[in-house]
Amino acid sequence: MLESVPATQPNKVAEAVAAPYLTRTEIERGTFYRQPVPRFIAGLPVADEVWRLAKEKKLVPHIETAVRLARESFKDIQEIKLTYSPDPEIPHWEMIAIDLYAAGTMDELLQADAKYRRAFTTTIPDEAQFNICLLLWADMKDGVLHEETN
Amino acid sequence: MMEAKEFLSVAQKLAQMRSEASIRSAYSRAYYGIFNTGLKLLNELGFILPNDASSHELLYQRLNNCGIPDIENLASRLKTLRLKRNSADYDMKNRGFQSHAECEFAIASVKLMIAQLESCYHQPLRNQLKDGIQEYERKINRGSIASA
Repeated sequence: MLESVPATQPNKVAEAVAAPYLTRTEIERGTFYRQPVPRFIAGLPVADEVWRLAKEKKLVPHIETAVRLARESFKDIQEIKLTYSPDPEIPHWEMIAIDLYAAGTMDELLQADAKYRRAFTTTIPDEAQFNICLLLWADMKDGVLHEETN
Repeated sequence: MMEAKEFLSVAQKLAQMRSEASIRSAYSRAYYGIFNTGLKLLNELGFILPNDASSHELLYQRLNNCGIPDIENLASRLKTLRLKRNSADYDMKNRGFQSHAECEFAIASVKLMIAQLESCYHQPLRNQLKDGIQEYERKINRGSIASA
């Protein structure tokens, strides 16, 4: 005796047969889009605007160097992202920011920041420095300043 | 005349208020503290920058190409602070402005930067900086004449 599929359950065999035809129909209708090819710089996924500026200004190898220098300078890195950062007040001033989330005490972070910037200004060519910028987001592990500035 | 570094006292007070709006405003004040300190220094050395938005970039370029490594590092931090200030004032989606401790770290950096710029009023740094910027300006002027 044949077992019948209850009406409430999906018919798996029918779905498998129908799927290729559905996909083909989507292609024919032009509603099927390829996923954009993911782009990476220094192993980090980047948005189209970052990729465009990096290619236009020939920054890719310099961004890779800058990210390496950041990884070498900061001990406790939680995340690194590359973001496109145009200046809203100065039309042609556009940068790729290395958003670096790092933890440490204030002294550790100040020292790491100074180490990175020394290495950055001596390693990256002047013409590339303008469009690359480290943006440090610090997770402070110690107290804060309360003194007044004179 | 108001001293630009007075903005830093305001920035510290804002950071200690610990709300996101005050932290965002603190970044903005801290940036303008160092920016105006830099403008004043260059003015004293005889470099008059225009009184418009282009002066942000012109100041950065001059400090970043002056040939003094410490000042070039400072220029790099100035650029970072401008980016943060832009984000603080224009990007309400950015969630990075909730930590007053992080903001005070930035203010501590700016205090060091202001002290560093003030040291440039004294010799021999004063002449080194002036000569370095003059050399940079000669270079870019040569470049613009050549490309004209």
